[in-house]
Amino acid sequence: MLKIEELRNSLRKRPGELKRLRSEGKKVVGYFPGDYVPEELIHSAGAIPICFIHGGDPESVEAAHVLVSRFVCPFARAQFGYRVIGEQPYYELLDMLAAPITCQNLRRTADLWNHTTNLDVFRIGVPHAYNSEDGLKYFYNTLIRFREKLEQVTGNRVEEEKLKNSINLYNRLRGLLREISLLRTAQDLAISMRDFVFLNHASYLLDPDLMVNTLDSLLNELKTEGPARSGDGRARILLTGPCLALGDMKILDLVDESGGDVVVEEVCEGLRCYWENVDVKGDQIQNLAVRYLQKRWPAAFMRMSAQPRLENILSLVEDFRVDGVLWYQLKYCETYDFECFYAARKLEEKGVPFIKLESEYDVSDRGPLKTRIEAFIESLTKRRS
Amino acid sequence: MYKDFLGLCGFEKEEIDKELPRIERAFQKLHLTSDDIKNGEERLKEYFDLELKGMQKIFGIYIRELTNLVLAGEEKEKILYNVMPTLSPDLIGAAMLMRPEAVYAGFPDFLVLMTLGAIFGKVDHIFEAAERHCSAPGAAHCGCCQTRLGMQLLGTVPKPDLILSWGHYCDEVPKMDELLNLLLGIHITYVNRCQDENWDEFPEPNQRTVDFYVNEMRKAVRDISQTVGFEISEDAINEGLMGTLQYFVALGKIKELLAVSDPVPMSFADLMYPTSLLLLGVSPENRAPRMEAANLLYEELKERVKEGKGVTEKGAPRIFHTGFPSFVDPSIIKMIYELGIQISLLEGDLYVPNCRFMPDFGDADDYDKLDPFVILTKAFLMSPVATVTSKRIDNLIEACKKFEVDGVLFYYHFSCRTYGTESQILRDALKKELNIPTMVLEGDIFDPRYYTQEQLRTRIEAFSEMVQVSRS
Repeated sequence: MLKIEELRNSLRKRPGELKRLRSEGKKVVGYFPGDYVPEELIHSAGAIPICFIHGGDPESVEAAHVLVSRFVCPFARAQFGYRVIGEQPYYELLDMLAAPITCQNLRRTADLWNHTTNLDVFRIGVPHAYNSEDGLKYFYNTLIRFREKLEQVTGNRVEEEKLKNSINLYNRLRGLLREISLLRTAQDLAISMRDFVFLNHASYLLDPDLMVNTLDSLLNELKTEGPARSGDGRARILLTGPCLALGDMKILDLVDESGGDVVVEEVCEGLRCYWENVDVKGDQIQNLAVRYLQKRWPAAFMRMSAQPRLENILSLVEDFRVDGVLWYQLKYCETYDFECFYAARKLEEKGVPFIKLESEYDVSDRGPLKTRIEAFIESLTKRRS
Repeated sequence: MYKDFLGLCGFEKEEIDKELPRIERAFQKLHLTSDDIKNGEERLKEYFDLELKGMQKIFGIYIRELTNLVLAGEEKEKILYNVMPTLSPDLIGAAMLMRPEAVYAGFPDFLVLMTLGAIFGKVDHIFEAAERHCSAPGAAHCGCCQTRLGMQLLGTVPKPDLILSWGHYCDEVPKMDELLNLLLGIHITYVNRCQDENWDEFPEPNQRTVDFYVNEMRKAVRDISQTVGFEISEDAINEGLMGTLQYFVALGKIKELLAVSDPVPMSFADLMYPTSLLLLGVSPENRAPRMEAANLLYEELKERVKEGKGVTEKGAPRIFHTGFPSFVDPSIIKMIYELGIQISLLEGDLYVPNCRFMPDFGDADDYDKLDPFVILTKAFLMSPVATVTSKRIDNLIEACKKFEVDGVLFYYHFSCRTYGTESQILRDALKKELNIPTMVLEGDIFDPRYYTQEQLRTRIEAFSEMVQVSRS
């Protein structure tokens, strides 16, 4: 697929591009993932949003231990570890960090950035009672403060019209990702799991205009060309859990090797980000607050999220014709660990095959994970036939 | 078999005669055997300072509260529980103040850990029950939450009508309570907070946080009212809170005395008990005895200071302890003193700014004119555990200088994502500022099984040596 190759090339050149843009006066705003930071706001302030989505390697986790407790989740450890190692350019080329306080792991990571750098760290309060009116009001006011902060850092005013244009741009980006994702409801897969996950990850780092243009062409390409892979005899898997970092490909590799395909990713850097769009009528900040806090799939750190998350998973199982659910969790991610217990019970009651896998981004994980994934996929394949 | 034990807990003869039937019934429900009672006596004598009558009285309050908790299912119509990290016992406590005959309000997790755990040494089965359920071993789940779950699974304490869950500080507590709701059908009401204060936002707690918090507490009170079936009045909350504040002041005097005395006149393993009564709250009949015990303890300690009597020799190095000591294993603190160093301060007791033993609410005579919810919010936000980390660093450095400590032990609860990394940041900041020995020590303040005294001994010995060498 040519378009995907083009994106890979663009991604390789992106750090150099960011360096150039910064030298020309553009500001780069890094942010933690989870889909609680509206990129539209950053974009409309004339800054470049860059999401901290790298992870999956043990070096960054290990490096963080100089100041991080070993019982913090490896993804959060890595978000500080990359800065310690100094080998990941996205963690160096920043003018400001936006830190949504979603869980304690990331809350303390924000503290670490404050403690060890001179970077401006702005915390975004995320009300955990996400469905409440008070929570929405608080989040709305938080976004107003965030807008002011961005205006101060960039020196640009966020005009209503500019914000509307940015929202439209990101809506288009989300819409395209969703359309491409939905192609995977078919038996034969138009796009491989690795390619789709790559598109998703690239959308957090590359210029949104470039992404939209490329995805647009790619979608046409995918619709006209034949399937990338025949689904015959392969198990269709829903991947769910906290996050799937850029660089954490172990699980996808093992699923592929074992004869399965992940057909939908219900993770922080997956479907939760592109499934719903932002309304553009009325107060734009209110629209952003509604979309980013409420009109979305809740994460496990939210209050009373287990039940709606389960319902969402069940609907995806049906829509994407899923054979089994793979709960991929990071070690010491406490809220997902609790929720997993509940989800496993309920999915079992519904007759949906389920497996929980855990990783600490260590290479030694691979052997045990391989054995378990092979056995799981074998059981799914037998069940199908 | 109970009389000797109860005598150690400050019960007078007539009190034993009167209260024994209920206590006996409660202990039977807890499956405490004669061997357990004997073990309790031995542990009380070994780890705690029973020469202090004030401490005996405080242990007595714990036994009475444990009895009230265990029998609440048969004696009360409604049961309300508080959980860690609670901001106050007084929201649910107000319901008990208004209708003591019908409502039980308490905080079982700490109460059981500090009695069944620290006194009787009998809590392992509770953790094991939780681990067989959703709180898997090896996942670094918090022992306090495991206690809550395990007790419900085993029926150690009655099933509550409502849990007031404080989702303002950690992720584990509200999530565990969500499972208690989904799997055991327990009604949960949350008090939430967005911990989004930036490092330059202080010294005053910001208005958006205070407003959000106050609103969350008011909503919780409405939910509690609905559960108990009558409206909880602000007067009742105020009355409870004023009692708590008075007790807080009494405790502050004790802590200040310990901070400036050499040798320190009592162990922090003991001090945990009067201190925790602040969060546990007590039944209406134990409110006055709680104050009397604290005042008695203060007088006894003043006497000891006058005599130069303490838990170490005079002149022993003085250290600052961050976080909490173990709630279940008093032998660890005992070991620290035996190794020749004295803990003179708990960092958690010093409020920002300026390391005060009490948050600044203005004139104490005017407390009753303040909004109780605002008092609670500000008190919490000015405590070192809840303030912005940058201010906690400033407070810690200032405290080390002010109280001239010889070293700092950063003891943190291993499964606490909130504390673990912050301890490392604090240590790093302190090392850059002051040249005194420090140690970050990983432990478990709720579960006694893994980080035992012997497990920690080598590291604490090394710390003790560092402090002694540095001082010489």
